[in-house]
Amino acid sequence: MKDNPIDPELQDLLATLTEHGRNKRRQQKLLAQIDQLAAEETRPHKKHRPLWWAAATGIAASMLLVLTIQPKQQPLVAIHTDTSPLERIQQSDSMAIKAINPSPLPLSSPTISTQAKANLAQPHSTTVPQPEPESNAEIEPEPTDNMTVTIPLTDELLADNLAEAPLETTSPASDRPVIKTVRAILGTENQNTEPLRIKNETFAFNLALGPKEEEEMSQNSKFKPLIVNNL
Amino acid sequence: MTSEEFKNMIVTHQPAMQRMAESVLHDPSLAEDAVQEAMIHLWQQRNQLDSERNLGALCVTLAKRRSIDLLRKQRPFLPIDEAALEIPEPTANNLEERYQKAMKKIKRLPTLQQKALLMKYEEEKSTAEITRELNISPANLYTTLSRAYAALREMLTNEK
Repeated sequence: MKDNPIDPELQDLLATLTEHGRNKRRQQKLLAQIDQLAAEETRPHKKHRPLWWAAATGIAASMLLVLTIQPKQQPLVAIHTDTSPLERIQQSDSMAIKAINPSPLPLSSPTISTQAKANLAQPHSTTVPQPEPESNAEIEPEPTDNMTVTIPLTDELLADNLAEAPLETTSPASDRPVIKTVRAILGTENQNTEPLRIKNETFAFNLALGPKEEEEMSQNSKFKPLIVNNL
Repeated sequence: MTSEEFKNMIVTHQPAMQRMAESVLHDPSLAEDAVQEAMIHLWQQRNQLDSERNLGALCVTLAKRRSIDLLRKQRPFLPIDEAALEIPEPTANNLEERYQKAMKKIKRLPTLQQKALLMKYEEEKSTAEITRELNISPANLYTTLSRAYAALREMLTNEK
């Protein structure tokens, strides 16, 4: 729409209207902004949390997540399944396990034996309980030709003398210094008593023999010389 | 200074601030930004404005300073001679006076012509909007405006 040619005075009048209208809109914008500024001032400021607060919250959340979500436990039956010896050998090798069973290894599951649980549950348990022996009865071995005899010595004097004696007394030609020393100490050279607490009856019998009987016995194949260790 | 008092102050001095900013920046939208920044600064310092005697001069000076800051941001390497920018401060009531004079004449026109003139020049509405709101055809609007111009021209001639 084209206006008719207007004189400058009318043009100024119309320009004044336009300028006033624009200023009115600008003023409305400014007034709205003032209202916004006033509202921001009256609004309570949000409390600023320190940095450590955010960090602590994050850590607590992660801890809660870890405690809540437990790892998936594998059944114990998977461990105790009967396997052939060949498979058992193969299972010791991780590669073999992968070849046989693609499922995850049972060893990776966080299972623990009941005995280990009990040990861990005990307070300040630092020692690992040893398995109990099957029986308290001491099995005495049958006397053989070259056997090792242990003689518990109670007399300190005897123990000192015997410690100086040669350990190897197997030679038939030896003069049996152990026997002599024992007899000299105990004064029982001609007595058939048993002054020492000797477990091995055969050795005790040899100790009780005299030199002659000893020589005869050494010639006899049934009574072979004994190896006395740790005297 | 309360919020309402501050609003009144801004309404009073905003035209002068706008004219000053436009005279520095030669861009109405940039001048609006400068006035807005000046207004925010005045809002922050509003508690000290009560003791200010010449609030108009303060507002216009602040608008000028903000306009120069914007000009420096736009042209950082252009030397700005602030002395050359000493523009005579436009009187705050100049626009309002002119507007009131114009409205006196406009109010003597018929209602339809008043509405059509104000919607076209003050509200800067399009022809479609005016015809839709006044429920008239574009040809009818053209005729109405022509008659309004003629009446105003006669009034202005008679004033002389």
